[in-house]
Amino acid sequence: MRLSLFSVALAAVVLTGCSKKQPEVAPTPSTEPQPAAPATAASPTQPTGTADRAACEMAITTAVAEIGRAVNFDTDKYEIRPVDAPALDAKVEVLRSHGAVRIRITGHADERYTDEYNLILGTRRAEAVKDYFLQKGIDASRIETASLGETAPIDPAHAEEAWAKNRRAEFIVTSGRETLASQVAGCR
Amino acid sequence: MRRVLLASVLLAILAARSLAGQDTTRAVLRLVYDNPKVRPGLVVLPAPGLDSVRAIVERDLDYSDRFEVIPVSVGTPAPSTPLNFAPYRAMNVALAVEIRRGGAGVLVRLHDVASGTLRQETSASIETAGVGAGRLGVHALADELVRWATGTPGIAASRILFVSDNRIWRMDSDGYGATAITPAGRTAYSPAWSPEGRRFAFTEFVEGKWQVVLQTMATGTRIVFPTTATTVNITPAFSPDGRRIAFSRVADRSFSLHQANVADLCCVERLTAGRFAENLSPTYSPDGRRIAFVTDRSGSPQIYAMSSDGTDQELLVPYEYGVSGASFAPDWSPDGNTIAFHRGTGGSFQVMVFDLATERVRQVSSEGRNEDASWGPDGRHLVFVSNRTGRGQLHVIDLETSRVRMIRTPGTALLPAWSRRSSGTP
Repeated sequence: MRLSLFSVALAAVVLTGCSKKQPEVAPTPSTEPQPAAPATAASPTQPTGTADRAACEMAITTAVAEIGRAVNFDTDKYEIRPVDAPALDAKVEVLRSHGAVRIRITGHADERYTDEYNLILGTRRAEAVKDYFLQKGIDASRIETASLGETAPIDPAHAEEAWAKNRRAEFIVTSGRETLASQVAGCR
Repeated sequence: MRRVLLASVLLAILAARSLAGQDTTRAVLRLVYDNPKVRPGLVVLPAPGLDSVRAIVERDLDYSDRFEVIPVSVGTPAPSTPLNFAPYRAMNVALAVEIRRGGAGVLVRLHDVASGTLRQETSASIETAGVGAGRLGVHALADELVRWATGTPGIAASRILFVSDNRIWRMDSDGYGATAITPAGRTAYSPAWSPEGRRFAFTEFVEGKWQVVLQTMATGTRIVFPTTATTVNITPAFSPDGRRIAFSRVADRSFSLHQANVADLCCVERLTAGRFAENLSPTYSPDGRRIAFVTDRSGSPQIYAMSSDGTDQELLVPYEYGVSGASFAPDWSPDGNTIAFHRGTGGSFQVMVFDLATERVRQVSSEGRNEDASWGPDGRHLVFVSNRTGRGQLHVIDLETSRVRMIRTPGTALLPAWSRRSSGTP
């Protein structure tokens, strides 16, 4: 139960964190106001030609979500699956066009391999994704890696469906979040 | 049956000789019950007014796996003075434990039933309610009873650390008093006792790093080991003299074993080299000269050993290439003779014990998935994680009798670490 709360907190950090200096991953539920800017609410402002605050926030949220989408791995493997290349390439595009953005990749494992070695498997998964980004020309200094092994499952069930979800790499923006709207007219 | 009778006869002789002196007594006692597989019948006599103490002692003696503990039927009268052993002789009871108020507080006596003689007694000032920290004092008395009878103290006055819900928990060896001792909201892993039991090390996830934390048991005071807050450090272990700590740290993009000075909180040195292999889970030999660990340098993760200065690295536990599964989590036994670990087999993990003298590997679990074994203070019991009941729970096995008992914990439990014997103080 606490694990799923942790995941919620992590998601909250992905969505709201890092707009301030470095409100790091302290997994307590964020009390910051959510930058919720539903598309329906924001679109009426578009025709005016000047992006308002909500539109800038939406652009940021969209980019953070693009970066934040997890990728999964096969059992006991840390190789990038071909099926995930488009999703990773989309992240590469965001990183290329927003040079101030830095990210952390956290690798996770399912519960089936042994607990302490899963910290290493998670590390290998995060490193594999980092290597993919480096091959695409992203500077190594912008990418940090971490591993939580099997300690933070998305789905705590003891079944293949859960394990498949839990074998993953997660992404959070650690700095430069506010620059993610820089290419939208009127946003800084 | 014949063996039990023989033991009783020998006991009668030694009881007569015990007046000659302690040393003689001990020597003869070892002749009788130091065979680890012999379990003499034992009864804990009714102890009016001390029911909690009696219940704890009786269970401790049962959990020692050194006796056939024979329950006393309800309504058995309090022991008379002098004790009447006749009914117990008929039940094949060899030893009787008497608990009563007296001496410094509680008086404990071990009687030889066959000869009807008092073998040994002691008294202690203990918390007789049998709750809280006072339980360790009761456990210590039980451990002393085991020593009188077998020559080796019991293991009740010890504690187990484990991980549940990403926090470190501590409990007595019988499962009593499980308490989380690291804060909620942080991810803690891999607890390891300091040899004297005053503090423990673990690794904690903070901002993408895993730092080694030393925490004092009594006060909760925490020290983050210098240089570990900005790096990734896992699987800490204390040296037997408590002066060094070994752990695995990411260096050159792979996990490498390092050792540091705990007394001065300094001087991290690297023990394993190479960029293309993972090294983790160090465990010191009792003399502190060797470290066994896991490395995948040959392809599959297996158990290696080296001198504690990092030289002389070699495969320790033999394996059959392509047949034996990956091997993890070695724990060097207190007597130095064996190493417990777990190995993949049949699509699962099983606890194994490697005998250094014979170089034989013995599988000691089979039901469900079993891993993360940690030695009890007597070197014949192991605590390990098993999912045989459906979720990860701690189990204790006695390797001599193969008896297994589960320790019920509130949630899923993993990574147990069993302390050495406590002096009886918390």
